[in-house]
Amino acid sequence: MSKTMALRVFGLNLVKTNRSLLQNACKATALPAGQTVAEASYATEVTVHASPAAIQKQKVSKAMKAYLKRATEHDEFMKTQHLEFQIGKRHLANMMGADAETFTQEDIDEAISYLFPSGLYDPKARPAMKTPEEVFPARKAAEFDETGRPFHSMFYTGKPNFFQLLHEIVEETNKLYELEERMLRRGIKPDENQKLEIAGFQVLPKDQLETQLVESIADIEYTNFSNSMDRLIASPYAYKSKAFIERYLKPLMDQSKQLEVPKPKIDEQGRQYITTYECLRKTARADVTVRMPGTGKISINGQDVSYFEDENSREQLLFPLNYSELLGKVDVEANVEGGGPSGQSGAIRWGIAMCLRSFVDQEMIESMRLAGLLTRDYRRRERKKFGQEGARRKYTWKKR
Amino acid sequence: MRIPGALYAARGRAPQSEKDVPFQEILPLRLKNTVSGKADSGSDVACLQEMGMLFACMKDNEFVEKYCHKEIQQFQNCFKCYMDRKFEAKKTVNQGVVQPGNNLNYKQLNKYMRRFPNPV
Amino acid sequence: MAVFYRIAIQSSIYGCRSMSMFPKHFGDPLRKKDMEDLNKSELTKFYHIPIKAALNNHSDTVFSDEIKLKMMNYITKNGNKALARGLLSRTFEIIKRAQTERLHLSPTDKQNVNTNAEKLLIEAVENSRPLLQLTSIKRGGVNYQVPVPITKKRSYFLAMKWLLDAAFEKDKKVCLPERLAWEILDAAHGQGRVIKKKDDVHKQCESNRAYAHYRWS
Repeated sequence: MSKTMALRVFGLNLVKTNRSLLQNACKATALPAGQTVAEASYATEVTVHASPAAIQKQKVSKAMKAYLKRATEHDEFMKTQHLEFQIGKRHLANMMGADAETFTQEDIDEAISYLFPSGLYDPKARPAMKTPEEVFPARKAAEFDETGRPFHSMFYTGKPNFFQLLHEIVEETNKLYELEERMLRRGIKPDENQKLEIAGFQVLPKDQLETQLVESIADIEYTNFSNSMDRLIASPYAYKSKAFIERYLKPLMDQSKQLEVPKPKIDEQGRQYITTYECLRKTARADVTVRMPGTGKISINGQDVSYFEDENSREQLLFPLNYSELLGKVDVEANVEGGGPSGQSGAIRWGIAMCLRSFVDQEMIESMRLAGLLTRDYRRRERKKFGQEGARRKYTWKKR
Repeated sequence: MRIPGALYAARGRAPQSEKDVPFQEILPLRLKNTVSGKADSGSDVACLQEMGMLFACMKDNEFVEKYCHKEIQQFQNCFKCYMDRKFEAKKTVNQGVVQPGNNLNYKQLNKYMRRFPNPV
Repeated sequence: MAVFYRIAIQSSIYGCRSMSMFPKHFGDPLRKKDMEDLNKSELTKFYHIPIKAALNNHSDTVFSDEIKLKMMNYITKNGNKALARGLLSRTFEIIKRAQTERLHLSPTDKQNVNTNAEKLLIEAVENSRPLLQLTSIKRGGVNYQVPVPITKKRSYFLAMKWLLDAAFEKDKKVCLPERLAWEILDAAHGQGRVIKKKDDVHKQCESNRAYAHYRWS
């Protein structure tokens, strides 16, 4: 009887958090389960087989009751939140004169920043509207059955998923060690061509691992994790368990962005040109046009290089041109506003460098990237903190 | 090793009788599973010999550096090695990361002994 | 009614980033010279690492130099770097003039006269770098002056500081670039106040060599 009740409760809300229970229930009563298996398999991996009759007779344990209560409450809460979110979205769409059905999250962000302009420094402190799933972190599904018996053998560690992961890593490592032993005895060396390339990757950072495991991890536990991952990766046969390792690696850089180089257009004089809009540095904003066969003419807001009074800023303008050895071969036009000379010259420097990508070969682009010319310098003035003289500097200590 | 009482008798001193003075275990007769870090701070004085050689050479040549090129090189290399080692130690040894070898830091020793404690 | 949440935006790729600096895994920008020194396999290591933006006082020309940049920073007062840059270039001009004059006056050994002002600055700094330093250490109520080896970075700092101190210590009529130029020229030729100061430090260290084992740092 209790099971049917539980089923009813969960049948109402197909929410991620209690997917596993639902699955279990479905299995027990042989109902078709319509949802996909979760990508993070931890919460859903454990399945309960049809419990023996003896257990079925027993009462539902207190823990389970409490969990069910919590789960229903949470479901109700999420439902209302969803509803409110939908209503809010519709209102926003109305206000912006758009169709509510096709109003995406990006549109919402745009609308919010337009309707509620905020002068707050920290982006986290500015108003935002996100789906309830993003705002309220995912919760674990029930980790025990109706009698209160935990599914996982490491339930009482408090962090079963994390310790399970550690066990898995060690298992993999031991497997690789055994393989190495066997291969050594046979006199076979590991394949150099298949060697695992992890130069562009890093072990999953702590916060991401936490969200993946749905458990909070202490710092020392994270060090244990990263150390054991390092040990696994350092094994010469690491490529054998590539799939496992890659689940806990994260690329350092998005490579695809580097390869997109815009094609230059042709202007009325038959010259190639390319324009970069939105060149930002500090509070300066510029758009830069570079024309290919040129004589090295530079015009900034209609003036020449003397627009900048100090030498340093002028030097900055010439940096990318000089670096790519195109100084005197291209013309540069820039419109710049906001900020001071240093910010403006930085913005134009970045714009020129981005434009020049279209006129140089791949090797030079990579070289320019390594020289730090293609990185957008998004550093801003750090705010002053209260109780301090500036951003970092503290007041002189006075005893009294 | 037990020493026969007769040996003491020959030197004119009777051994203590266990009945009169029963043995008391004031402290457990077992080594602790930790070592203190007091003595392990080590000497921070490095490159004394190189410095001495440098001074001798400098004094001989009236503090003209170009005549003591070799000594200066040795001294600077020594100091650089020392600083590098210190920097490395900060990352590994002082954190207590156990590595193979016989020259262990007290933190490493403690970690090691916690893993393999004395049998009770 | 719309609902607004104050949420911690989970950053997509780089974790939490502070707006005033680059994340930790960003590499420092390389100079063209460094890139030529590295071989292919070492360069591919950088292929996957994002690079910090080049600083706004960097420029990869033949004139850019680490010591020159540092010197400029040390001359700077109250953040007026443009003025410092002007002063330094004026110094270089004076050096160049003086050396050119010397070149024309001595027709015999033209090879020995260096007219490259930047090279002269580097030479001067290298010449006035100390090897050791005295620090006072308290042992049993007595302060001992103990000679200690110094790091490369600090030795460069001291050399440049001494050069500047000597230049700032001047009568009001003479401008800084002129005085600095003469100090640099003197130090580059292994004479003058700065070199003497360095030798003094070395001599003091030598006389206090008995205390060398008191060092604890």
